[in-house]
Amino acid sequence: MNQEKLIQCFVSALAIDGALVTDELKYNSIPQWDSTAHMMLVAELEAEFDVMLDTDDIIDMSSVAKAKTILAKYLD
Amino acid sequence: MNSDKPHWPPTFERYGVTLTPIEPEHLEMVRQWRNSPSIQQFMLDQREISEAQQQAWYSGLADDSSRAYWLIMFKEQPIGVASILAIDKTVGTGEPGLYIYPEQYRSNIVPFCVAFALNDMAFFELGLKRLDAIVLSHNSAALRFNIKCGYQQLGENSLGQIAMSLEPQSYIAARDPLARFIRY
Repeated sequence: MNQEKLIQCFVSALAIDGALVTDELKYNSIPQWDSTAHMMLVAELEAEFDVMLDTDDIIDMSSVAKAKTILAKYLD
Repeated sequence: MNSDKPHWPPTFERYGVTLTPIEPEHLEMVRQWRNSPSIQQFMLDQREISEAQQQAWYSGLADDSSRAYWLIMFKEQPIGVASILAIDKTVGTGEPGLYIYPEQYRSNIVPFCVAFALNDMAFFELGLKRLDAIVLSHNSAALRFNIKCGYQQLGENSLGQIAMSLEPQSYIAARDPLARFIRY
């Protein structure tokens, strides 16, 4: 998986600095990652990685680490 | 027809969620949710609700078609409460509200599923023409959420409350790009 592309998706959707995008970053842990930003993130990830996420995966994508795990499932 | 079930408000299922009338056995769970700091902090009325007050509130809902409260069901679990208050079918207005209790369902697509079900109910089942909302100015997530759902921001009063309104056309324009991610 292209890690740089993943980080850019978070930077763009959450409007945060790339340095904040670590595996430990969880939704709701910063004000920028709310439900609205989450949907922008999903749109970014689907467009950049050319995948279509299941709704349950959209719900489960609760951290950067989790996003990597979920995306990897679609990119295998 | 099952005469034991209330006819108001109607049960509504869409976007993977079901809005179902609140039954007496749900009252204590709903009261606990409503009194929890995570929910209470965003309510216009932040007073603690007693069992007696909860019962009185519920009794007052019977046959009151100007107010509708639903339990939100998701994956067959109750997760929160949705409402439309001040329903005026003559003018075509109402005041929606919702809260979701489990933290894992608050900051992703689930609030949109619930809001879309509630708005579809309001506009396309009840026939309302405009929804009015009041959001506390410090509740930035709710403000962003409502704007993403198509609400227009009208202004802020001296109490730090922001008035917003939503009409069907702007709602549909906002809903459709997001609803494509709801794949149930």
